[in-house]
Amino acid sequence: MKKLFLTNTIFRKLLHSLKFRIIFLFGLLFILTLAALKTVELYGLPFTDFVGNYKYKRYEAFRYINLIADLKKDQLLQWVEERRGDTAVIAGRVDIDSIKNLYRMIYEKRSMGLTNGDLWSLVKKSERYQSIVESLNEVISKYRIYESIQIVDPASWTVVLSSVDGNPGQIFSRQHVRPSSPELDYTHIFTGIDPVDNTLNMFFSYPILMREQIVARLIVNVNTENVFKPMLNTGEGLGKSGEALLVDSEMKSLTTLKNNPKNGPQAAPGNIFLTSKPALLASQGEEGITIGMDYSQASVLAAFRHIPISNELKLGLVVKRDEKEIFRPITKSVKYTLIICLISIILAIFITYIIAEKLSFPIQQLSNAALLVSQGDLSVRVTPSKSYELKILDETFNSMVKQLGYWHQELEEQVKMRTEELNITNQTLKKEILERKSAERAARKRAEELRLVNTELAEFNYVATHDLKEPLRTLTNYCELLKIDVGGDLSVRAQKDINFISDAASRMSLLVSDLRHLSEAGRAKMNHEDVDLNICIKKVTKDLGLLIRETGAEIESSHLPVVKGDFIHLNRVFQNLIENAVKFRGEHRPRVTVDSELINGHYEIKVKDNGIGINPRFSKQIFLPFKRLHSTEQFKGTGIGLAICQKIINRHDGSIRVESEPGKGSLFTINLKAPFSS
Amino acid sequence: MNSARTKALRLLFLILTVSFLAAPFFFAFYPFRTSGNYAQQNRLGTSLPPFYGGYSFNRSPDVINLGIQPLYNPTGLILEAIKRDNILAESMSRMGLRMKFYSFLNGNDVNRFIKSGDLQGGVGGEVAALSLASEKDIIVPAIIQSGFTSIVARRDIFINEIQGRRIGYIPGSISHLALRKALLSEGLDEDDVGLIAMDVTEIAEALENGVIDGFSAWEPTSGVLLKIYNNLETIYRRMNSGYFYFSMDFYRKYPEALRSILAAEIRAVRWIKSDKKNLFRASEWAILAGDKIIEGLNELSPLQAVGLATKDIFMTSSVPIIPGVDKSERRRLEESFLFLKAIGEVPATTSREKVMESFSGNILYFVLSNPRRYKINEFGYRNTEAPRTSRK
Repeated sequence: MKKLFLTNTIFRKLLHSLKFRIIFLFGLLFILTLAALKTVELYGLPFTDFVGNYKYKRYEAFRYINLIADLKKDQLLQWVEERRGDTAVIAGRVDIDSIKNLYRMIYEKRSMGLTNGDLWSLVKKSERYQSIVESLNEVISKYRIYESIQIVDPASWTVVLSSVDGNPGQIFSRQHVRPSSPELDYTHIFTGIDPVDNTLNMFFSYPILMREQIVARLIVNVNTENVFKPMLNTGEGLGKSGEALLVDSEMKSLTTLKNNPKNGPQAAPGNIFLTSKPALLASQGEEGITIGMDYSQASVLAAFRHIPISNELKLGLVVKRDEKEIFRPITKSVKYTLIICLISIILAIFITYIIAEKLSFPIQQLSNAALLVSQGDLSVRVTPSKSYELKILDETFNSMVKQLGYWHQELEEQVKMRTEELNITNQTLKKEILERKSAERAARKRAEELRLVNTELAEFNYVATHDLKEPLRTLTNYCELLKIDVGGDLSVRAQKDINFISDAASRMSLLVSDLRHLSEAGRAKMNHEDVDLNICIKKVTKDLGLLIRETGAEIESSHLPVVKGDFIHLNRVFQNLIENAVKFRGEHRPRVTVDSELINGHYEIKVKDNGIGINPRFSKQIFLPFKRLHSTEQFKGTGIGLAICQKIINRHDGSIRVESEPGKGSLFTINLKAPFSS
Repeated sequence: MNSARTKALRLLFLILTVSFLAAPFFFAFYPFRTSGNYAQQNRLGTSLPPFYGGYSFNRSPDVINLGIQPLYNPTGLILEAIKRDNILAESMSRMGLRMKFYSFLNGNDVNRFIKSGDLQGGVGGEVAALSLASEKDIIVPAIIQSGFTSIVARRDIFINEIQGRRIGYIPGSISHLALRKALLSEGLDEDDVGLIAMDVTEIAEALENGVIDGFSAWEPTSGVLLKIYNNLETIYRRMNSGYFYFSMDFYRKYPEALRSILAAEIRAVRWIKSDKKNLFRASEWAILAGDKIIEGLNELSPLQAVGLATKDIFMTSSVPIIPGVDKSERRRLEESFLFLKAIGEVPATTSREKVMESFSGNILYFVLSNPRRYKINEFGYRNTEAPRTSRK
């Protein structure tokens, strides 16, 4: 795994290295350019006249093969015309009287009842026969291309005279391509197997006429192999594989083939039926050029021609050359080009490597120097390169590192200076911190002392209020006992004094009670429960039932919310507020409404009355303990109620305020956090 | 942003470089192929040539109207000789008949007028002869010529590179058949080339204007254009036969007249082949006749025309070939018949045997068997002196 990782890392490094990239890109460009050039050279440039060597070579080969095919065809046609003429001339030289006499002799001998063998033996020995044969042999020796000459009976096609032995009496059988209209007076040309030597021959037949009637036919015959083989010879012009071959309409080869057909019989004339495309097309009357397989299954470029020799005989000529041989120079050129390309590529890669090395060396040097600089060595310098651009780069790098050194030094000095300054500042700060810590300690001590005093004060307050109540109650009780004991013996004045003492004790008791409530509001534990203010108002209304009935007050509340808080203390708040509203009433029948509003996650509970109102100047003072705006004679009370309310509401993290004007009633607004508010 | 642009430019440069270098491989090895048969969309010649309109056929019973093709060699030469054959004129006169000759551009046009009854006979290639024989009761007594239909193209195109090229051809004719055969020999079909239908007279202009890269036509059109345009080359040729054919009504009515016409054909062939002078004269007559159809097409000198005609006439036997005797001719007729069926010119149900019955050699046998009676070895032509022609 580690090995694989290492290989992978090395490979990635190699892949991303500058050297590799240069070699790869240059190498690829070189290969592609070479290949493109070679392809253009071989296959030409599209949309231009330049067809490329491959096509050009093919055109050239096709044209050459075409030319040879045309020449061979003309040569063949010319030769046939000459033979046609020869045949007519030879036929014209035959003595018709001799033929007539020969016929007469044959007729006489046959009427004597001789067998065929005896008959023709006698005929051949006759002087007339010999003289005609002699003249025909003279012709044969003169032309040198004819194998033999025969004279045949036009009706039965029986040979009546032959320049060679063995023929008379034989009939041109069906094996021979017999002319389709033997009675007509024109030259018939056909091929067939020679009855004597069993070779494939071409026959030219011409009528011997007497008073426009055909009395005999002269047949001259040539051996196709002997005649056509030299005529079809393509020499060196078509290379080693070049060949011209001739087929008849049945696609039978008229000459020996250059090669034996694949899996076929021996390539003797008349022995092979060629089925290759060019031979087939030529024999069917078509001419042109094509690329296809020949009889030996080799791919050839072939020109094919149709040669209509006579009404009966149509030949097909195929001139062909192996494709492989034609394109051999190109194949060779491609092979050598490939070798040269390969060498060039290796050379190019080597040269590119050197160039890459040369190019990358200064960069590598620079990279190493940069690495040292990054590690903090600012004394490092690179040797300037010879190349102009790289020299500038090297010098710039050196000057940059030099500058960096200066800056570094300067920075170090500045840092030193700042460090000293910082040390001084640190000292001062440390001193200040010590002083502040000492002050904090003193403050905390004072706060603790204050808290202890407060606690003591609260305990004193509680104890005082609790303990004071007892003597007050005793005082009140004894005042009542005094009234009972003395009864009517008391003077009016003494009775008035006792009432005064009793009232003062009652007020003292109320005051102590209120003071206790105020103290409780400040120190008692506040519950944090759901308080339905509707229930709260109902309870207050019930508790203040007597006062409400006495004053005929009207207390109204709309749907009030449920808030989080302490029920008893909140109940006290509303009791104080409603009691005050009823107590400080004007001339009208007291009317108190309690409603609420949800504003920004806070409930504003509003307690509104139609009482005597408060001068706005005192809207804050009224929440201070013992602050009274009226004398106790006018309105009874201790002046602590609203202070208790404010303390309780503050302990609920809320606030209370008043809006009022004298004679226009008051509106107390309690702001409490809604339970669902965050 | 800059980095993205640099990346894009680098990629573009890479694509361009690779494309430029890969282009030669692509063009060298990609098998380009066009598709779609253009034959129907690109037809130039659709209507009959205007000069046919000037023909007023004599419907009199003593007049034999024959359709000839001056632009079909060597038939054109033979027919021009027949037109001037005094022996034929005399024999017709003896029968109380006259002959009138009308020039046409192709066998299909000749057929059209035979079918309408305007012509009693005419000449046409094997495709035209078979086409008419499948529709009308006719007799085909003689082959008038053997020649080649050539596919000619620009020098840089060989038959195996014909794919995707635009080729002019005469639909439903031996030109069409030869083109199909050529394509078939290379494993292609008509969809692989751009076929553009036209008349022989339109080929030169189409070549000149670059409408076609090559064409398929019979002689002398192919030979003439090869002489005129140096950048053309024959890439394929197919042997075909030209036939003399007559309506059966005519033969039944005037059998002796038909035999005389065949005798005139034999005479004409023998006379032309007997001497180069005669060949020269017949070529001049054919050129003049061709000029009457389309002036300036035949820009060859008589000497050049003779050169072309010599090759063609060599292939024509000194005796008109008896139809249906030769094996290769039978094979060609079979091929042509299948071709006509394939292109829908002949209904698929038409019997080959019935059509082939029209090809009969008996009349020609009879004429050849009576050389004295039909004077097949005697010659006498009008105006054998050199015609007035401006060409040298």
